[in-house]
Amino acid sequence: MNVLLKQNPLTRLSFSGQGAGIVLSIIGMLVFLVLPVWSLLSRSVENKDGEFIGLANFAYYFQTPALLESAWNSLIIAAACTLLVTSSAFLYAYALNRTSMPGKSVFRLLAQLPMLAPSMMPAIGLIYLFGNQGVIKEWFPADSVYGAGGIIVGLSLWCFPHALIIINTALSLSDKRLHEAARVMGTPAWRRFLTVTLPAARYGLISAALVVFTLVLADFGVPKVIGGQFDVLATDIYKRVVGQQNFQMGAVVGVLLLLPSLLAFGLDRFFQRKQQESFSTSAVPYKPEANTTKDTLALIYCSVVAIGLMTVIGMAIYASFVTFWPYNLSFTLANYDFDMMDGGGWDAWFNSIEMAFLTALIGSLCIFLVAWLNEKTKGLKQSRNLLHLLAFMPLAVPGLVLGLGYIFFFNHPDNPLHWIYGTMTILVLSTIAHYFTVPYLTATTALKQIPNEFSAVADSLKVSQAQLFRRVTLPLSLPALLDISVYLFLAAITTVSAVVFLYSTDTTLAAVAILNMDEAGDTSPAAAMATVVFVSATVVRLIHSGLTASLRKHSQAWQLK
Amino acid sequence: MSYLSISHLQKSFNDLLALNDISLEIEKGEFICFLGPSGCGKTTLLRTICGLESQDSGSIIQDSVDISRLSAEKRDFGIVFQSYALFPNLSVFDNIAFGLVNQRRPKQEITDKVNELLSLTGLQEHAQKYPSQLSGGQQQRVALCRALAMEPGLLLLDEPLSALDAKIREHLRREICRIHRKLGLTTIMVTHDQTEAMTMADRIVVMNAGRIEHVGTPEEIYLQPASAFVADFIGTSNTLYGEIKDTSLLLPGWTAPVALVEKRTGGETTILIRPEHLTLHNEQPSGPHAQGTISDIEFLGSQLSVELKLDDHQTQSNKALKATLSLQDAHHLTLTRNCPVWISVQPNNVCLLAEQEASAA
Ligand SMILES: Nc1ncnc2c1ncn2[C@@H]1O[C@H](COP(=O)(O)OP(=O)(O)O)[C@@H](O)[C@H]1O
Ligand SMILES: [Mg+2]
Repeated sequence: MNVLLKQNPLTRLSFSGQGAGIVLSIIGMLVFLVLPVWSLLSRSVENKDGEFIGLANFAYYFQTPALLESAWNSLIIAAACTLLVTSSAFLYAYALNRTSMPGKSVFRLLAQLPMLAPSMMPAIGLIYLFGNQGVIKEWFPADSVYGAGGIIVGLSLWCFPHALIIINTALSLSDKRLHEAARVMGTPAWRRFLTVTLPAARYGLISAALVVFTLVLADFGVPKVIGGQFDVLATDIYKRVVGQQNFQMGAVVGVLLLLPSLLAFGLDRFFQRKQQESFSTSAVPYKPEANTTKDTLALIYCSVVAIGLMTVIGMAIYASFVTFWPYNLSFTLANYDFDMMDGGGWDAWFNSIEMAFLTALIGSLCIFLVAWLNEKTKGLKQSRNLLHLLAFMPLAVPGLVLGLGYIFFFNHPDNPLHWIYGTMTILVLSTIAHYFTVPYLTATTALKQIPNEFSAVADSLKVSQAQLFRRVTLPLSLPALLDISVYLFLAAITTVSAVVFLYSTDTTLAAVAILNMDEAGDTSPAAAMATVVFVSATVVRLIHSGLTASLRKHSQAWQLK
Repeated sequence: MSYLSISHLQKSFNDLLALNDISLEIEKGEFICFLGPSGCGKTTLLRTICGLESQDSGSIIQDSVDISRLSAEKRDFGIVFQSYALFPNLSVFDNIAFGLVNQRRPKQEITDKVNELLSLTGLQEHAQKYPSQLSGGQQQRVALCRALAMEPGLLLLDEPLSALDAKIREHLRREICRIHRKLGLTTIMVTHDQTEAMTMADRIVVMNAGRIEHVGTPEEIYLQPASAFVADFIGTSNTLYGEIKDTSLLLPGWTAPVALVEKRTGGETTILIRPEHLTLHNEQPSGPHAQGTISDIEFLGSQLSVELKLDDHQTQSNKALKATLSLQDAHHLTLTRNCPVWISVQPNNVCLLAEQEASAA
């Protein structure tokens, strides 16, 4: 390295500022992502006293039918949800893209509702609808909502918008010219669907299926609330660690959770690469023609789905205002008197807002900076490739696994960062690490649209790269930066998975409070807290829409149409 | 000493040798064009000159300073790209003033400088517009103003006209030449368009596969191309193989040797004759000539392009030759397909390739 630097001042120069940034970013990713996961892996092959025992823990796990059952349950749930969500989201996206039904923008908006809620909220809504004292409990297709059936429905509702976004993008990229060519050749509609529509959307479908699979496997809120005696891997980890303090077994279950996620991640990367090869930028967007039968069917289907989503979430909101379900349905605010209950009180909500705000602020800056360093600097090619790879890793690590890894890594007395354990800092950092990839991709896409020539022009005008960043790159990336910050805010305020292991009594979060109140049997207050989170998220989302609109208006003068 | 002195530049991308032993001297105030097919290394050479790429070996001296290892922001140049690369969120005025503002020059000085440049390029009324509100030609003029604002010692243009329509391209071509004459700024322009290079440059650097093939004025390059590649790349050319004896050149199929203008040692050689330098006759001319048959005639508007086959009885190669003549000249002749014609050439229009080139070709 030294020799190289001496020989070539150009390398040295780019090394001084931006190179240091890249190295720092890599160190950050190592400390807050790789090493925690590594701690988890190594803990899974140790006994209670920290001695290496090979795969003995795993052997024990696989010889215990009770333990093994939760793994099996997880797989069944994940498979069922993947099938259900992918197909229903595909139909919904098809209706939005390929029919001319009315009210598309409303349906688009309504489908996003579950993203504004913690995963426990649809589960709570389902309990009020189909539970022991539910209003329409006979309607539930399975014996009881408590168990596999409830988990599948709850998780499917919660994952629906995630799958919809991906499939919607894939369908909207489809090329009109292919459809026209097929039509001219007299291909009937059902064959056009099979030969043109489906192949064009297949990578989107695969990607959506893998995302849903990973989300379902890793979610812990829904099975915790509605699962009853039905154990899955995610609730199993929680029980081992929080209930029994059995960290070795927790780590084993964590590894079992990590493996399928890694597999799904690898498959997704593989198919994404394929898609990039087949994607043509010159595609002509498809414009659907009116077709009364098709449009009516689409309208009915989307209405059913949207009303379903609204009902489940609306039910949780409604129940939070009811005095004593189901006997006294009069209006009350008593359930919002959080300070009189266990679970953390209104402080939990304040903590959540603070955590979400810090995550959005610090996370946006860090993630954008990392993307910028990777996209816009020269030299250090290998380090940049490594950084890019690390930036994708969080997608493959379930939140519970990351949270558990943080316990092992940061709670170790020899760790110089031990002090962040139990503070707001560790909550913020773990959330940024957990949700790193999507914002990173957003930032990278935005930065790719900024010509590389700009930096050469700046050099010729004797303007520093920092100045260029401030006066040109940043203003041009502002919409993307807004998207990133609101994504992080919403993720932070609704997440439970990583933070459930990391909060302390001073830093209880609203989403954790929902879990705790529900566990204590205070379902109505849990619904109330979920409502508070939902409303906070909605308000932030609306502010974001307003800001984006005004930004667009402001920059209209220079934006290309 | 010349203003810019490049010696033995070498640069490779992985396995690909993008610049192969490039040496070049550029005088102050010259307008130089790098000309060559796409991928031959023109952009790489330009980017190496201004420090956006670093060479593997070789040196660059600008204005008596060795800048070989200086980073781009320490070098003295202005640059214009094919894609304009204007900052979309800044007005025309702010784009041009970008560098000046950064140096915290007095406000009045900045305004004066920008206005001077705007009127130089006829863009006064567009000062407050954003780039997206301008046409391509106007945007490229703004980019030119921005490059000139810092009064650089060297102006670099990378295919500045390639993205524009033919009409605007021609207009801007003249405008760049006018600005160059007015400011006397040493300018290097990269282009793959020979007409552009011929009309604009004081000297042209013809490049091929990372090497310099020929450096010279447009006339030199056209009339005395240093290699078959240059002759072929610039216009079209007939390549013939002849033999030099004493002071004359014997061409296969020719009745008599053509007198040589320059002195050469004897032996086999490659020669080039431009299509417009072949004279056609309906009757046998008096001087050295060859006989052939017209195989094809193409009407090109103001010109006629004639393809003919030599009646060569000695060698089997009945090579096709191309001749072009003005409509006026064609008037005095009867030219139809398959009719016999005689051709002759002025000795000073016969171009002998340099000896090493001749053996390579
Ligand atoms: N950054 C790079 N990495 C790898 N190869 C490059 C790079 N830049 C240019 N090349 C290669 O170097 C050769 C010369 O490129 P360039 O100078 O851009 O050609 P020109 O401008 O004459 O069209 C091309 O073969 C090109 O593919
Ligand atoms: Mg080029």
